[in-house]
Amino acid sequence: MLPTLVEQLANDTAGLSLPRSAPEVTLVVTIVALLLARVPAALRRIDPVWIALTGALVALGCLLGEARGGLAAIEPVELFTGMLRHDALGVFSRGLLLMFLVMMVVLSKLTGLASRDDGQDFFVLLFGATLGMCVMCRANHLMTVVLGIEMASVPSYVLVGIVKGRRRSGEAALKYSVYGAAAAGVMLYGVSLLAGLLGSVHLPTLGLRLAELQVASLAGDPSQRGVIMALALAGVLVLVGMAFKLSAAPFHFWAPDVFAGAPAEVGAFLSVASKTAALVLLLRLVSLVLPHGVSVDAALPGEGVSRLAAMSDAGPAAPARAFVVGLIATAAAVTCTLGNLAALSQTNAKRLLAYSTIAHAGYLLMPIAAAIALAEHDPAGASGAAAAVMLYAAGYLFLNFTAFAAVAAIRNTRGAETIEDYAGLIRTAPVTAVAFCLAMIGLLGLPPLVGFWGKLAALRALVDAGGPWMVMLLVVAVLNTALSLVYYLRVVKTICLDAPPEDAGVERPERPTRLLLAVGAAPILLLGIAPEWLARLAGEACQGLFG
Amino acid sequence: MTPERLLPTLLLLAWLAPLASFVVSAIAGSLLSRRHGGQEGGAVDGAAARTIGHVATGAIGVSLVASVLALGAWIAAHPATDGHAPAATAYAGEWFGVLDVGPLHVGAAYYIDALTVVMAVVVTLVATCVHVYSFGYLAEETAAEGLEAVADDEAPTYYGNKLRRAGRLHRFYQHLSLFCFAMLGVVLAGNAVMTFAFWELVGASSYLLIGFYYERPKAAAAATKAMLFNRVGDVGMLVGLMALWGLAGTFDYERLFAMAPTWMASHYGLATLVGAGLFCGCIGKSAQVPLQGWLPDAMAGPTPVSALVHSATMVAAGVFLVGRIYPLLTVEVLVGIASVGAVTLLVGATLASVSHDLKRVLAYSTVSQLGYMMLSLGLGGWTAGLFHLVTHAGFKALLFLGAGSVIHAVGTNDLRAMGGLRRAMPATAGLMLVGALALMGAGVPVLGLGLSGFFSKDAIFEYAVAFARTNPSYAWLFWAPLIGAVLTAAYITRLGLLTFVGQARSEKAEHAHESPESMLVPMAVVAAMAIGAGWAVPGSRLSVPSLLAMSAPEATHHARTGSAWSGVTLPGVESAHEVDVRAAAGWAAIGATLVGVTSALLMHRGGRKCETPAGAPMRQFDEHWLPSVSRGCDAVARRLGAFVSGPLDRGAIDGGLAGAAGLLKSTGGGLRRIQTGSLRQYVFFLALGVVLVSAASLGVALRWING
Amino acid sequence: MNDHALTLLVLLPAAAACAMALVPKSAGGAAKKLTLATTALVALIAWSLAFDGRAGGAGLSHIVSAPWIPSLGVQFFLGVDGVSLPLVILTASLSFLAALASLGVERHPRGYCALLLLLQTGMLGVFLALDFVVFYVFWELILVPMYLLIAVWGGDGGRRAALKYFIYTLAGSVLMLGAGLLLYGQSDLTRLAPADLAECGVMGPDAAKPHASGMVLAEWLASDDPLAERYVDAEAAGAPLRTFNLSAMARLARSTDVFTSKSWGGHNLAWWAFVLLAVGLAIKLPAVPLHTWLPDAHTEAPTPVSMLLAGVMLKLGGYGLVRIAWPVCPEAARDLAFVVAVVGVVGLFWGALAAMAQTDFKRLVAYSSVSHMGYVLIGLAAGTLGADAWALGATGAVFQMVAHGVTSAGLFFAVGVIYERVHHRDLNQLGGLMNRMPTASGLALVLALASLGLPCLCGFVGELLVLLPAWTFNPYLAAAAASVTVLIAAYTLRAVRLAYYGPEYRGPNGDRLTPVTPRELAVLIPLAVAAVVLGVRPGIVTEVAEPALVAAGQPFAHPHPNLPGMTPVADAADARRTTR
Repeated sequence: MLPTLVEQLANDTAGLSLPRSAPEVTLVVTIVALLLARVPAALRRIDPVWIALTGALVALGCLLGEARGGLAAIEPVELFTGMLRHDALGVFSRGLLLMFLVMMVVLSKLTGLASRDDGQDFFVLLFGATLGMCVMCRANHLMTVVLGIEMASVPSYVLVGIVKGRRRSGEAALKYSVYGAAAAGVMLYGVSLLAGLLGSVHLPTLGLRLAELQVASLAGDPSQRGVIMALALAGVLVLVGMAFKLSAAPFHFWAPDVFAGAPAEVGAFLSVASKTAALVLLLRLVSLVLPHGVSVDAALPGEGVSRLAAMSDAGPAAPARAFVVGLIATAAAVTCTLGNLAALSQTNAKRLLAYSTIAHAGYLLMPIAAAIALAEHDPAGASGAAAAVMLYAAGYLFLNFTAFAAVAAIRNTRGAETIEDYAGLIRTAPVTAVAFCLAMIGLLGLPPLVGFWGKLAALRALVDAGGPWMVMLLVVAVLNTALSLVYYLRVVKTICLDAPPEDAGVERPERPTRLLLAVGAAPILLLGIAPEWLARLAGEACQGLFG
Repeated sequence: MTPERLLPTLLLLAWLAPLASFVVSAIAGSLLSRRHGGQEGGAVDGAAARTIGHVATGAIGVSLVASVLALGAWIAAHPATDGHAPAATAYAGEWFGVLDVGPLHVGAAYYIDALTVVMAVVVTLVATCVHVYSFGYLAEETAAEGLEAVADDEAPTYYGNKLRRAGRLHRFYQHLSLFCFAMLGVVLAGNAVMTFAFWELVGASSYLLIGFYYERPKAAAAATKAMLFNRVGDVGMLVGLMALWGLAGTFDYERLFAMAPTWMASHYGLATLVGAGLFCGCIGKSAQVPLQGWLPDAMAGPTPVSALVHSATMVAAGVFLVGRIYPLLTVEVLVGIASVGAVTLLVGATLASVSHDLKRVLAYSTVSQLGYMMLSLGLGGWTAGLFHLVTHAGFKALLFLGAGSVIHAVGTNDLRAMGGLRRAMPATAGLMLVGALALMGAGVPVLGLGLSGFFSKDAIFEYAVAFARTNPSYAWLFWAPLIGAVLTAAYITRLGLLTFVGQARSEKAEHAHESPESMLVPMAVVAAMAIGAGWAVPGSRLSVPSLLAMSAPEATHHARTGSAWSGVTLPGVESAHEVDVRAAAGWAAIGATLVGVTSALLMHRGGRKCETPAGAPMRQFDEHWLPSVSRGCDAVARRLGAFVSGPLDRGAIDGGLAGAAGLLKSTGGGLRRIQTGSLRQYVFFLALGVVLVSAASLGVALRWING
Repeated sequence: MNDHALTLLVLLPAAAACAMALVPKSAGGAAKKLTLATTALVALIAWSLAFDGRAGGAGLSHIVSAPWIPSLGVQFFLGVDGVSLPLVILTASLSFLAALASLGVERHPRGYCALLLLLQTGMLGVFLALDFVVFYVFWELILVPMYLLIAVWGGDGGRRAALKYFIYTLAGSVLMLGAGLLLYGQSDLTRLAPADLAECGVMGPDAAKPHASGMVLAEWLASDDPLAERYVDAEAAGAPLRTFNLSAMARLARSTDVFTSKSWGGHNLAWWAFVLLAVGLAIKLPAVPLHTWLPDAHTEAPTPVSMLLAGVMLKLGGYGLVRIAWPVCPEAARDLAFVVAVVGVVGLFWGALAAMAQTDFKRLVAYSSVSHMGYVLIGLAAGTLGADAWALGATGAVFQMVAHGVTSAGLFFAVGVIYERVHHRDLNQLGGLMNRMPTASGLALVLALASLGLPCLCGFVGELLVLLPAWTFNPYLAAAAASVTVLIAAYTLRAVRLAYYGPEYRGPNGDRLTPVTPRELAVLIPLAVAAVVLGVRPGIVTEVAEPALVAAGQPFAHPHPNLPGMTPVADAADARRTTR
């Protein structure tokens, strides 16, 4: 018995799981290398950025290797005895994360955040967080869910306070960690409730158990009503944890202070990478745990992916799904409106971007609600909605990276981070200014920039889903877009139209920085004009996600 | 060629010749003025300007010839009959299509009947005379070259010196050509849209002509006023056209006239609206009360323009249109037209007798005479009204040209600065006398001899008498023209006396000279028209009225009774031509004229101002009340506009939106205030959020469970 | 086969705009010349469409159809028909004239030219796009260049005005986006007959040609068109195949009940979509009370931009109404026709009254635009009555757009000519210009008279065509609309009198009143000539536009059961049929 088990485990790990986790392994190796590089004096002269860059690129390369045959060809498999899940979505999202990691490494070097001396710490934290996010992206087990979130969060807390000696920075880090710890606690409670109620920690199995429960029939049984209440509570508590990571209302309070306190580079990381990972995790949770036409008999727990079969019209967990749709839709609408409203009167660029991040979390949640609503009758449509999330997130990556990178670049040249200080930037630093403006207009969602297509796909998903919730979301999204114009345009106006301050000297960032900004901004336009490539990738990544 | 091909061809030629002249002069004028001296300012070489004038005159000459030939062709095809024969067929057709949308078809169409042909001849004849006359009258426009050729003392400059500008005779002829083209378009039009289009174009060319001295604030204002007053009337016309379309679905006159009896029977109210609407346009164009105010002001234009546009042709277009659309008009509308005409003729005559401005007297006289025409048409006197239109075109053009001659010599319009001019300008005085007599309608009733106005005025009185007999309660429609005739005779006598008789009352009047031949010859031509337009061609029955009678609408031939006002009956031709009616009318007309002349002479001899007692209040009405109404309208519109663009646009709408934006922003600010930065508070919010969300979802779950 | 004339039309200016980046900073003149050459080329191509005998008429032609974003169901689908052709030519020509008028721009000429060219791409794209998303993309493409052009190159209040413009238009366009998505969400290509599919360009450009060789459904389904594959899938699954194709949407509205079967809050989906579309497009049109951006934006914009703003931009709204709102939501259009007509009449009065009170010449012209666009709404509202009314009303609306494009652009330029010299536009300080610059003043007078609605000039035809059906629709509204002509005359003539008439110029900078330059004449003369030609031969627009409009207005061919207004006399109706 035991040897067989060991053999199986070994086979599973070495033959199946490890080869498919090469990027993660690379990240771990890089972290170790970064730490070790400090020890021998000979290696100390090496700038850690090279190690980090190499590591990040190799990781990205490994990932591209995984995606070699095209995303559509990737067969979903469970790794590490069901702890992780390897599928197209995981590859795509990790691809985004690792690409972003490369960009972050370069950016932090160029803006001087990761200096020769401190760089090692910074990169270790960055890589550690990314590793956690990769785990989040592939989670297939309540334990990996919690583990991933914590692995991603803890280094982030430190990253926020990475600049030593700045009071606001430290304060922000403290707030973030306390808030994060509280949220994690809440989530952990929800997770344990869920596991206890349903008797499993494996996500697909959870889904099956939920289906077996036949929530609708439970309601009729007075003695079982408590179970429903507890389930609802568990779901809500888990979602609270997700909401914290996504900075969705009403759990967004940390975001403005943290973004304002943290260096802009870290802000970029938090707003893009952290959010992408959280979104993917949320998609995983809703696609796996909320059953959609799962045949109870046909599926064998713990063995591969649950097999799907057509079931009766109203799935066993239809009420649960409707409940989650309502919850997410409400959160999306509130988050979006709140973020935009609060952003209207911001004067600090980073705070403004923080609220913009909140607002976009709202937009991003909308298609997830649509996906859940669609899952029942139109799995392909639901997958399409998930693809809209990924398309949006991919575009958002470039937009927010460019915006934060520009903020960092301007901070280094002008030494200021309030919007008024950006006056006349177009004259003194045209590349930065154009990149920033592109990012702003892209975030606003004007075609033909990349932000529009994500938004269009999201709204299209809402329309596909139909129903009062979705129409409400459509209205909210459309009105918020108009609302957000005011503050995005104010930045553009300040940069392009206002006169530069008189004492403005040579303010152009160094050539490499400009190059990086251009590299970040070019996809905004190029992917905006030819978005099909990205849209197809996102589509393939999410194909079959909902069956 | 058969008349149905010959007539349209000739008239097309007559119509397009001025257009060609307009296009040529517009292009040539612009090119020449640019090339000249390399500087702008519109200076054109004097000779070139005159050449343009010659081209325009030649063009209108061609039109005249073609129109006369067309008249000949018409007469050849329709020998004069006893008068009461069924209406001669009109030639209707289309030269080319212009607009074809859905059911709407609009083209350059023609509707040629006797009225068309006669009008074409009248218009081109008077126009030719005016073209020739203008060479003399506007000679100074070509007197010299360069930008400072002409001095204008009516255009005040900042430093008080005379404004000097370049001569622009070419512009004058250019606009005149445009006017002739437009006027002939109205005359020929075969559908209502074409009529309206050229109607408006006539208005626009009149705008340009009145504003010929656009440096003068008075002229600029008068031009604007003329166009606006016309537009007010045209709104009614537009409404009429729309209603016509709703009623009939076509604008083609021939078709409309054929259909009219049908919808008169079924949609009487709407038919009345159509007629009333179209007549509104005529009120504006023919300066009927209450829109008469623009015509006297329009005298700010050059006098030849007044002669052509503002007496003989354009203002007569309203009368012409009533004649043209006569079959579409219900009895109610016709009585309305007659009433408006009666009021207008009284108002015009009264004002003419108190004005001190030579041209304004004539302008008011025009208003009054147009009232006569409208009255006649409204009472069923179709032939009579249009006959008066023809004769009036002759004698009023003559009077205006004479007035121009006087003004040219004296340099002022003010009657009080004239006097005794018959010595200095005997030819002008003689010709003016002819015009005055024709206006009074001088003649000998028993012999049937008289000037043109005698016949046409008689004809109008016949209808007035006949109408008053049939409808005793509307007797005022007889008394009004009678009083009007007295006033007419009085004011024109007064005019003659003040201008030509007595002593010169100003220095300029003393040194006046007779005008050049280029001015006198055209005057002689129109004088011939003023004298003879009422006569029959010797040895035949052919005369203007008999020609017109050929095309008299069917409806005028017998008595008609209205539907809404069943008490009103319009007399037909027969009842107006009864012997005793004719006699009564003749004596009434000549008697009134004699009374008028006599009283004017007596008052003048007695050293009193020969003015009507009703003059003062009427003047008040015309110069204060009516203008204050239009000024009031303007002020109200401007005030409303200021309100709309100020308080509403900027205040309510912009302010409202700004307020909404502010509200949003302050909401955002409120949200920001929650963001205190205190960690303790954040954790509290977190806990609160968890509790609230959990409670809410538990509540939802509970509700779901329970039902 | 795709005919790439339209692609060229859309992409040439964009390419030239990109090329501006290569022009050295110092070579502003070269940038302007490049712009002029590009716009000239574009104008040539646009005019060539009119003369190659294929464009115009009821059907689409010169179709370009290529998958752009199949994943999102977006097809790069361009085509031209009788409705868009006149507007395309207007846009291309006005852009050329605007480029000509821009030769005097001194500030940042490269950026200016690039934005102007981008603007042109956007405007042409809107008129040519037949896919809702493509339409929307081009629509939004206009926003930023226009914003910057007004804000950077405009007057002192340019920034505020530009911001206002941006906010209003973006608000309108997101409403439009919402409506488009709602319609998309109910559309279903599989419910269309094969012939319809071919005609709507779904089966590619070849099948859509009027005399296509009858490309059958099977042939298309067998092709490698991604859309065909999705069609097969959808048909197999019995699932709907959504589409953004505007022609197909209109066809669906006509032959199926997809947009009207579901009812929310007492109205069906098409009704809601119509409301959103109408409000969104009305902002651009602009209709009262959503017009306040216009006077500000027009007043502050530099002259060439004002020309485009008034000449083309306002037509985008009207075009959207004719192309999308009315054909796709015919029942709603009929339901709400009275409201639309009232808005139109109120706009007419509002704009005219406001223009009466202006002393800034340019603002006066701007308000007159508000007024003139009211006719577009009235015509479209009245067009819902029936086939004849639609032919008149819609054609009138389109003609009015073209005519107003000519006159307003001309008048704005005429104001610009004055402003460039004396640096103010205060009517009370102008005067006497007729003698100082007679040619320019004469041409301005022609344009003013055309805008006033003088027959034989272009303003009249649209008014007439709109008012005729309006009477049957509602006599009171029609009479009110007719009475506005007095106000229009009043403010136009007042402006002419104050600016051009009068003894002499007494305002500031009188010494700078130099004669009009040949370049300025080159802008003014074509516009004045166009005003005359359109007035004398309106057929050149109506004959092109009418068949396409009639085709688009087929839902209105069957009169509504409870017809508002009056019914024409029966025998007269017979006569009407034989009129032609």
